[in-house]
Amino acid sequence: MKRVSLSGLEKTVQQVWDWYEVQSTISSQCKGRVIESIRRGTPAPYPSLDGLSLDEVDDFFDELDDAAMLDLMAAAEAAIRLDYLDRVYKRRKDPLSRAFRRLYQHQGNGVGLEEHILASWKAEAHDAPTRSAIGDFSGALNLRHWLAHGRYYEPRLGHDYSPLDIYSMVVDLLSSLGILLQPQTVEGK
Amino acid sequence: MGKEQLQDFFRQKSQKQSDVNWQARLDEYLRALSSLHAEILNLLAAPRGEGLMKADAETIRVNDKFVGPYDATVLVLRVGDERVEFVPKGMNIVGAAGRVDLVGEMGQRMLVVQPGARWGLVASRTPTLKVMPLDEDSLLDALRSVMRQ
Repeated sequence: MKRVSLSGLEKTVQQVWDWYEVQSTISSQCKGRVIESIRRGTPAPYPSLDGLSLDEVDDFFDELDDAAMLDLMAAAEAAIRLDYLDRVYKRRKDPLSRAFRRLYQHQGNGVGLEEHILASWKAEAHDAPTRSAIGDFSGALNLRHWLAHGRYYEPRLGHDYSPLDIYSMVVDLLSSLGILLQPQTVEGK
Repeated sequence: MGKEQLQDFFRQKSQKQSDVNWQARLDEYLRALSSLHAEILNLLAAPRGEGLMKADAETIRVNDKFVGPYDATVLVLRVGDERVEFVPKGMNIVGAAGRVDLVGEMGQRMLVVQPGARWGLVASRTPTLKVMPLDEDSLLDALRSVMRQ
């Protein structure tokens, strides 16, 4: 079977979080200038925001949080999929790697994150914290799908998420699965 | 040390707060709102006179930050079982001294207060705010875009 052509361009969860922290600081400063222009009745620093109410200004700047949450979950997915491919390509002998190889034979490169990879992890996980980390992440994937598909439908979310919630969740998950948070090397070509 | 810094922190905050007269701004916005309603009713004098439509006033609570909640008037136009509303969105608006949204079944349009207490209909908001003067033509165009076809 033809191997996945790996880009090597994936970001780690930590890289996404570091980016978000810097952007969030800059965004807060920009928002502060917009609010100050409203208070003073002076021209706004960004003409594209003219006409917006304060609530709409909040929504505008909250977009960064949604972008960051999507990016964090995408980075986690990349790490999980790279680990999956690594186990398949290196033909490891542990039960999970064997299960992944069987999956690979049936699904090829079209393997699903939730229904295949995470389900296999859950089947092999014997401790409650790991199963719980997988369950939490699977629940948050509803948010990921909603954001990634353009939010055109009403999402079914168990609760509201913040970027910090998602960051903590994916760090917990990857730590529980023993997947490195740093960039990985997979023999993909 | 911490106590003095806290005092300085709030002293500076307090000085920054006191330089905006929010009550005057609110009074100005509410006056602009009354003048908008008068302007619209004047533009609609002929169809109202013929009994083709009705205009009513309703009151809503506007939660504007900085000044707290206040009552403001919604102008409601009725034609048969269809209604459109001119809903006050408050005075804390980027690049304008206040806003009212024209809300109908098919959509909504924005009106903003421009310098000189003139109301204008927003033709497009981005990339830059384009505002048309409020007159019979622009009002008709706005009503057509938010009401049933």
